Amino acid sequence: MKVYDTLLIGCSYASVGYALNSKNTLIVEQTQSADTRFYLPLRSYNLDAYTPTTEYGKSLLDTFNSFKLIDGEKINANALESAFCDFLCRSDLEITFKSRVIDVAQENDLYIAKIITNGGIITVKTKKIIDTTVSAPLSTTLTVMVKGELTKDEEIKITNAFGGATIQNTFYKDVYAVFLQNPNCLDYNAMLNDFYNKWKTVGAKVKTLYVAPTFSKIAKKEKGFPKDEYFGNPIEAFEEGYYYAQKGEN
Amino acid sequence: MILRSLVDGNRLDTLVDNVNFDLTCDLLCVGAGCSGVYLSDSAKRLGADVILIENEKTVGGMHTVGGVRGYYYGYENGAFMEDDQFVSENSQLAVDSANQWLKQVAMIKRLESAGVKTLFEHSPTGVWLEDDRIVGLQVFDGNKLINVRAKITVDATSDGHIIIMAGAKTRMGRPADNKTVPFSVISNYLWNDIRCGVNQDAGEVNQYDVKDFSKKLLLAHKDTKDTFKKGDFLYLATITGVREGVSFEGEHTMKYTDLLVGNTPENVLFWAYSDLDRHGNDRAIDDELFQNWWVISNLATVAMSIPVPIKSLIPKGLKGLVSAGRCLSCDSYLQSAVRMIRDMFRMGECLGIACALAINQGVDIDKIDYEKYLSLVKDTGAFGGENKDFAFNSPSKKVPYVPIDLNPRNNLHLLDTTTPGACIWTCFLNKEDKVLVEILADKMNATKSLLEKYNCAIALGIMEQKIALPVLREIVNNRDCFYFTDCRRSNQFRSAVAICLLGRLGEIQDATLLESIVFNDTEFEREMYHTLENNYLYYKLPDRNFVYFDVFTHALAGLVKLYKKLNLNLSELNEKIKKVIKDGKVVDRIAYIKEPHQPTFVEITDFLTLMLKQTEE
Repeated sequence: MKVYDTLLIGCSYASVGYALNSKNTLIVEQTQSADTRFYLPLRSYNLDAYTPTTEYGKSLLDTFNSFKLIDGEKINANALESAFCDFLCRSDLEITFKSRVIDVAQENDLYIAKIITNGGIITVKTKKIIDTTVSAPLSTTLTVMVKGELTKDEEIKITNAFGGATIQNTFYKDVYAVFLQNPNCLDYNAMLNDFYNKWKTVGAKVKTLYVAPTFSKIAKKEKGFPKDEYFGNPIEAFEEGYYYAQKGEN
Repeated sequence: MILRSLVDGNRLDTLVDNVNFDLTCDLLCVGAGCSGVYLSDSAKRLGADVILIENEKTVGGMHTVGGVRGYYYGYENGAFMEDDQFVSENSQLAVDSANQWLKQVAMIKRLESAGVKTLFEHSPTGVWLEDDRIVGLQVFDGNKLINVRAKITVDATSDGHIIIMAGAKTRMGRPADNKTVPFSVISNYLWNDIRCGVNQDAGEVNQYDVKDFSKKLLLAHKDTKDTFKKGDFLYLATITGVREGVSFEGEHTMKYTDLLVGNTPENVLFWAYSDLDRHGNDRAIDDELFQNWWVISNLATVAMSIPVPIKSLIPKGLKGLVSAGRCLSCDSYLQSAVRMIRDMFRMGECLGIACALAINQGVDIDKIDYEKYLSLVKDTGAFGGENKDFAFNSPSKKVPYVPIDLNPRNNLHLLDTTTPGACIWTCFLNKEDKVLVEILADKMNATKSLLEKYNCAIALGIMEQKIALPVLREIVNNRDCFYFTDCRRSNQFRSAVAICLLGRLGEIQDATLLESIVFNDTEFEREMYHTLENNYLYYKLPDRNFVYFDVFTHALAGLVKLYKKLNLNLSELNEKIKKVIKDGKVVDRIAYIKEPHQPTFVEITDFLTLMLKQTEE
């Protein structure tokens, strides 16, 4: 049975950054996407300013630029998955998708993790396990892309119907992202149903283009592993993970 | 009780004395995709207590989060039509057909109104058995392992995950090389206010090998870069489009051979409707009957009603477990057909009814009162089978509906057209008809029409008549550049068809002819390999020289057959193939992109490896 130094639960920019600065890591991702924190929930089209300081970070930025994802302070969140996968294909990391850690036992200094995958349960031994996911967010946000002429009146109608909603320009002309905040909700289907019920009453002229298949999580920055949710720039999240590996913390 | 799981590639049976079941139900359905949703709904409405578990966050599987929004064949009737109506009534809320989320809402509302208990992000980890009967599952709920007891467990995962866990005998891929059809990655973009989809064949994958699956997923996602040039890129589907997974040994195994000759099994659960939608292009190593249909008769887009018997959903020897969705007990060719979205909805709906009846009657599903089942299911409209014709048909209805007349004599006029397929096929079905052979031979020899002469030779060839050989040789020697036009895509190249037939019927001189195509470098200098445009009517992949691929592969596969049939020196042929592989020129000519995972590169290199193996026997 292979013994890893670190098992990272959740593929994220930070977990990939960590893995690239470590040896012998395994990343276990539940979904079939590599970027589940910025791309999958379409978290934001605004990009916090950040300049990478590592070679890997610069390479990731180059990859984003080769996909034409960044324009000043704007990022094309829709295209992040393709770009991130392009970067990962050159990175020779061990990542398993559609996989979940279902049980962890301890044997002396090692952890024995059971992981359910498409091919059944696999057992791995590891010295360290890092959970990079956010299990108890402060709130969640569902992103809906809409298209059309968004007048001020339309904006008001939408934000009134969905208390706390914010609207952002995206990379595309006349396409906007509507962010719907849900204080206590971790049920995606309930959010979707609620969105339908309210959207129907809004009578907006803009039309939906795409509803993100998962919600993003708002999390309070805590000590420990730097989760993607803490950052407004995926490259910053990546390098925080990279430097975290250097610190050697558990 | 025994807990059976698959651990590190091995089946593990653990005897457990007192199992505490956290949940109990009549029917436990795994997978809230196209079939699982409608199965759970119909079973619940007939009184079964249903629990539905799903790995993902939401419902709909390939039809929603998988990005397959359009319908391709399948009968247009059943409960799903109500949900389509819901989407249509709310269409003003969405741009064009960007309404995936509306369908999810419809399906969620359906399950809620039926009262189905649905548990998302739940992953099965083991199967509970009591005296060879599946009595439930062990499931990971995100925090801990729980046990769910059920009278009937349904595997609606589409990839047979529960069936594999339960220990059923499975197989994967086609007979020649165990290869499955390519998987796809679906991306969507916006162009001129229209939502467009790209369904990109991304090569073969073994989704049961987590390393292979994960690696190929990354590569496929990276390769969507070209979509960015088409319009405003919206998203990559969150579920990978794996078209073909395992099949299992069932209480009955469906065979495409039965389908094509019109054999109907007993106790049909429902009728699917589709063409044999086989992706991939290496037809030269397919089964002979499939080649007769697809290649020689050029009937790729002929649709047909496909009877799916109840017993083909039951793994042999395992009680309490049923499959729903595209994982059936059938051969690889039928797997290409029984997987259309509408059919998956209807299969689920019908199977839910059958399961509810089984629970109500206290029997296994193959023992239900079939007449009672029929009376229940026919009311729903989901049963299908109203149209038993084999017909040129198009899901979009843009191409005229043309049923095939099964009497070859009524089709003879087609031989003097560019669409002789129906005639060629019906001649094959009547290959023992000596009078028909004479008619065709006379026509071939007397006609002044080259089109008719060559098509007659193909018809005689499929009837295994050596009288066709001189004309088949003429087609190949002339490198006839004619493409049949029966179909709206995947039309066949007549030279390749003739080569395929020479491989079956040929004599020593034909081996020489085929060798000149395969091993002679000057073959590739012919103009035809460099002038025919990539065209959806023939092939869709722009990353290969498709004419050369077609001719070369049929010629080499045909050569191997001839060598074996004529007892020629196989080891000599083996050495020549080794040289072809070593010098790499053939691969260079065919595959424009030579990355290891690229479908074309994989197809030609795997083909050459298989030919080498076949000459080592």
